[in-house]
Amino acid sequence: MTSHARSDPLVVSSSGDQFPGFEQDGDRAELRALARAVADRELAPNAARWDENEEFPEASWKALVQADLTGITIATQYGGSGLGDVESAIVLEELARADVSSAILAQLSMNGPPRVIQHLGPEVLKQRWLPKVARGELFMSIGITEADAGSAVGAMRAQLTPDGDGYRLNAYKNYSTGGHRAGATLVWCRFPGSEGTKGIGAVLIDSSADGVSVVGTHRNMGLHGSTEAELAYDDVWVDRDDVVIAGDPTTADAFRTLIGHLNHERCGNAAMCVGAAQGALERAVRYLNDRVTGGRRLADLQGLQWKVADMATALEGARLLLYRAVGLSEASGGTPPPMESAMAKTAANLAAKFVCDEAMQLLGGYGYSREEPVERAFRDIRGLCFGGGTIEIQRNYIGQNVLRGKSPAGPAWRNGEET
Amino acid sequence: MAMNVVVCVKQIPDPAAPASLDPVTHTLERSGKLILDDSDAYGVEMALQLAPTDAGNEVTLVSMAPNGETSGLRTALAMGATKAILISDPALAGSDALSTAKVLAAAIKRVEPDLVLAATESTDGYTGTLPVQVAELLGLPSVTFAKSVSVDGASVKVERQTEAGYDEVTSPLPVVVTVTAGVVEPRYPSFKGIMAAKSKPVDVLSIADLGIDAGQVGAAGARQEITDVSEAESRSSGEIVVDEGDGAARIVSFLEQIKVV
Repeated sequence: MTSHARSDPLVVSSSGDQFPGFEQDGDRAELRALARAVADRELAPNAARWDENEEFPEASWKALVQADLTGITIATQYGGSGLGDVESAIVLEELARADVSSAILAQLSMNGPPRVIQHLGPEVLKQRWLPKVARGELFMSIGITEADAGSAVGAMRAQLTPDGDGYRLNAYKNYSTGGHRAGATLVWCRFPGSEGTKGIGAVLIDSSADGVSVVGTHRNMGLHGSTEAELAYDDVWVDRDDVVIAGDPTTADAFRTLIGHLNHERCGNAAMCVGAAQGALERAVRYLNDRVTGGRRLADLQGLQWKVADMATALEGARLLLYRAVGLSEASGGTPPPMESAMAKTAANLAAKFVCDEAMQLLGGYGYSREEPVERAFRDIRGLCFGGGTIEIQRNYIGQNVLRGKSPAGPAWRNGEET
Repeated sequence: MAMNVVVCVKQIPDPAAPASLDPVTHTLERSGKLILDDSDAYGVEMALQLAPTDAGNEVTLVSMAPNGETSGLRTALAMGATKAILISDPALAGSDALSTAKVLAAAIKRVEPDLVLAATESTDGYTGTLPVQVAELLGLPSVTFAKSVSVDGASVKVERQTEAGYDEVTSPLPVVVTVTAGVVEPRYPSFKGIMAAKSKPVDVLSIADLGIDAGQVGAAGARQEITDVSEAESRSSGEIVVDEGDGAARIVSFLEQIKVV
């Protein structure tokens, strides 16, 4: 059993445990070893099946729950482990190294709606939902994107209308990852009187509530195990207690706060890209060391050594940016800082595309085969380049802020305030 | 009725790391970090299933290791075991299976268990003799190679793996039972379990604490001595037959030659 957590002398060191300032010894090393054991034992052997059958990774979810990995960022008073973004990055790296679809389930619990509820929601909502997430009874999805509101979130049409002591929600959300299997969805929507980004807030909707329906699921290039759903909300009752953060039609404060919370997800996205790329690099390295042509190992060819050097350098650069972002989040006690998160996500998305593509090239025909995990990783990480804000949106943010003379600063949100 | 189960746990050098032998004693070098022997995870899981600790039962780990090593024990504690007893004493260096059995038996006796579980053999030494020696020293019956274990009142029912199938064996408690790999699926040491394991009690004892004389154990008390170790002969490669149109006939001829067909 424990053998799955052991190091493989053939593979490149996957770690983050050697970074100055990002010490990952002690509890973090044990957490990493546990996540790797779960990934090796439950995720890796089944990943091809989830992918081939476009099947929800039920066994992965059970394993994550059994190992207590779904609730690590939930506060201890709600049954979680009370950990933060560094730990979630560690876990996601290890899980995605084996299977990105399964890692996304952990991402939803560790960096998705439960984080927002915990920071912003009313106590009654926390007590109703967070223990269930911590126990792994359910996970939550996010409803932001609409048919005409993707990167331009401010164009959303999801609308709350007053009804007695609460509201009625009418909305149509698309690309809600895991929305068809989620126990509840955090729906970003307009509060009465909202216009543009002003008045946008968020409510939590129980998936079993009257008026909630799953209209369909997407058949994507990758991430077959954790595909996205189209969700319809038809006059759904919303209690005041279900309001996670209310939109004020005179300001965009709530919207900005919600955007700030997406930085948890962005760092998680970066962590999954780093993990998937790590897995692909290891596969390529193993192959280059084993494969002999014309009496020489492929690993002895300088042209291929240079490829590996570029892959490893891109990967390590992304990893450093990631652990800087989550390290700053930990130090501040808030959300990961926006500039560093955007840089980490951009670098990790690009590194994963590059590394998985080159790994496939190095593996030759084997890498193009659906029997080879690199082929799956190549397709899976492509989807991560859209989720949590596209690479282009991240670049917009970075570029605009650099040109305004801003440098990386503090958290996007802290103690109910924005910076 | 609450049960008191002991699991014999061996902490071994990581099989994934290169192993080395002591040049003088020819025994396995075990001065570095040790991990829980995979084969013992089955016994721990079996114990936790037979005696759930959240129902007032106790699962105690008993181990002997150098340098106060507890890494492997922490893994088993993280799975859910209640507490551990570690016997660590410089005088134990060079112990053979019987010496080890004497030490473990003395420690197990203090716990007065209803059931003692162990693996059929360790994955570093493979002697496979220790559990029955422990049973003999404790004056308990032993049932080996269990592929299924259930407790019914004051007795244990075991399906004992044999070459032909399995025997159904019933024994009164207390008893020593060795379990095969695959008897149960070991659980993960969950993250909360890992954190909780840090504060679970590990009683570290010397041989003096157990009232054992140093001359009876370790190299001094060993009944066996490894006199020499040599490299295993490398196997010669088999005959390669190139098919020149007569491949099938030559395969049949070869199979006839070795009397397979």
